[in-house]
Amino acid sequence: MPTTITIDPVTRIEGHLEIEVTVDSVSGQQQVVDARSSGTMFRGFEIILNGRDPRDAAPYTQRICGVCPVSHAMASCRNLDNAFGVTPPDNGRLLRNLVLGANFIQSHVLHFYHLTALDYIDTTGLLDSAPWAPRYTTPDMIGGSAAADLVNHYVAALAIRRKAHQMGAVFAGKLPCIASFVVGGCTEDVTDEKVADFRALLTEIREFIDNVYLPDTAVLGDHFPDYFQLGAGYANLLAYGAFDLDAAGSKQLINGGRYTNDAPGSVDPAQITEYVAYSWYTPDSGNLNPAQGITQPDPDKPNAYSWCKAPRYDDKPHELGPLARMWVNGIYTNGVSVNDRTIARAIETKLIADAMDGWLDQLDPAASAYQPSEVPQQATGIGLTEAPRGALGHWMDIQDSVITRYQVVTPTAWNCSPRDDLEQLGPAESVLIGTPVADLEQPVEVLRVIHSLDPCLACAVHMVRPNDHREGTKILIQPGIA
Amino acid sequence: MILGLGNILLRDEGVGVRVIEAMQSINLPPGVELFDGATAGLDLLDAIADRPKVIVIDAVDAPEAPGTVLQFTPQDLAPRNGQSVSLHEIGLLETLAVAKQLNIAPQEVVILGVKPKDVACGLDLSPEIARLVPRIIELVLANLETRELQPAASPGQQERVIPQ
Repeated sequence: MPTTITIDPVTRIEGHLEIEVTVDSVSGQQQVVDARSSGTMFRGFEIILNGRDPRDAAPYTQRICGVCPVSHAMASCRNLDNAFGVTPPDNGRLLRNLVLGANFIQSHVLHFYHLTALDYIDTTGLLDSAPWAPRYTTPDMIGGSAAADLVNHYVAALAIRRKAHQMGAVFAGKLPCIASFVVGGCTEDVTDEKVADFRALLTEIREFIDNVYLPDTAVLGDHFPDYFQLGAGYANLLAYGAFDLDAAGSKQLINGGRYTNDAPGSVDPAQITEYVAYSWYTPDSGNLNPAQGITQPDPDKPNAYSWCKAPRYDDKPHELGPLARMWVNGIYTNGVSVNDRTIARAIETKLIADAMDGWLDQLDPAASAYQPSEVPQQATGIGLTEAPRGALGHWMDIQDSVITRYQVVTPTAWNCSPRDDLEQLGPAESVLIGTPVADLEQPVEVLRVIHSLDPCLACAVHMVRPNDHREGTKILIQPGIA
Repeated sequence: MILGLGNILLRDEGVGVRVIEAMQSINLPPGVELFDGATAGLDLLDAIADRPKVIVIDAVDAPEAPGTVLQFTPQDLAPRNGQSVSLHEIGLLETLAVAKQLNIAPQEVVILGVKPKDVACGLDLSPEIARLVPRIIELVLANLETRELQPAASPGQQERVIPQ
């Protein structure tokens, strides 16, 4: 008898990402036989931008997401650079790389310790207070001194993550929503003092990556060899690339590329199509490239189950993220699995952190980081980059010097997309199929698989919620009381 | 530290940030800082670290009518249920717990929660919530002076304070 489990972690006013898995016994093993990934909130940000000054794209698109504002700043500024026909000077390119790099490091470190590691260790007696308890506790989890070590490293990682944030702020001007990324480069000045501050933090972070983070990913791999066999899915991988190494962007630290049906390939953004057969959008919003993208909600659409469209490359679902990036660059090609995603994420962290030290050397305190430009009367733009959790694209049309179309395709829209017009499952849905579930009450295996993709849909609503007791709560203003 | 949280792309959800924007033109006592925290989670650690007092302004999901302003403490916040799926679920409560773990927690945290009227996509506050902004600022300023918040005085209106 199949059982359906819904994993909807959201307790706030609106949901974001809901994963529904159907578990049944196949050849005597209880496992996931079907999965549905559903973005449960409409994101109409693109509609807000219509009619606005194109330069508003940078400050507003950063607000889409509380975890990756830097990636949206990068994508929107590349989009604007492209539409305005401007190339940032070397300092501007390097400062953008350094701030994005700091964001990758903090996101990857936090992802490993806060989301991944805690799925594999029994934290009873180590982290017993909210928000760390209650948690699933399953017999396969790491316990004893190994668990205590990982929890100690987790606390150290929180401090390191804070340093990565401080490092980004040196050149971001302001965080969380950065003010220094603009069309044509970066408004922050380069000074010897800022370079020294940045480098001091980076040096400490690199030591942590080399001596703690990378070894800990190996510890998990050794304890859970099964997870090298789980969560493969389609094993189609795609990256746009990020971290330009020259002004033209012809060379990048992480190049774009594709791996489809066991063969490498290049990425042409024109081959991206967004389907909406199972998404709450009108048929007119479907079967379009993002450059022609339309966002018309249709909340009553029969059979639809997600607010995500289903982006496909050459009609095929692709997984994005650190493993895709490391794979298409030939840096890590061990396999496609839960553990491989975790290891690739750590290897990428080291690759970026080490490169950042070299970028600091290339900064020139005497040179400008900003190239002025004019708002064009009419233009189209495309801005491709990478967020920590995968390739991110922004597209825009400008007419009469205002935005007439803005489309954002996030990595989670790819990874957690619903089925498409060809009835193909989204990547997250496909990686879940076949995942064994030992205990229906504690489906930790499903979480481990989903976490390996680092999903990112909870990008919008941010309300606090009082508990039921609220002893200390007072009403200060009550509407309508005369 | 006066910390405004929320998403300005979702109308009233961004009320905390809008209050911070409106306060930029006010002469504040020395040592008082304004911070637009947007929808950040752990990125707020540096903003709140080691502060003697943090006043948070955020939208609140509570049963009261839209336009209600509640004052509460972190102990009154509801924790997440169960396991998290995404880094995006690290909110204020989790950030305060992490600050405590790192021994950098602020000494006192007061939260002013505003029940929104409209959280659809859009940049403007609803008229009902926009009208409240000056009164919310009065509440914040009053809270700078005293540990205990008093109900905002407003001509022709009487606010109720739930007895403890």
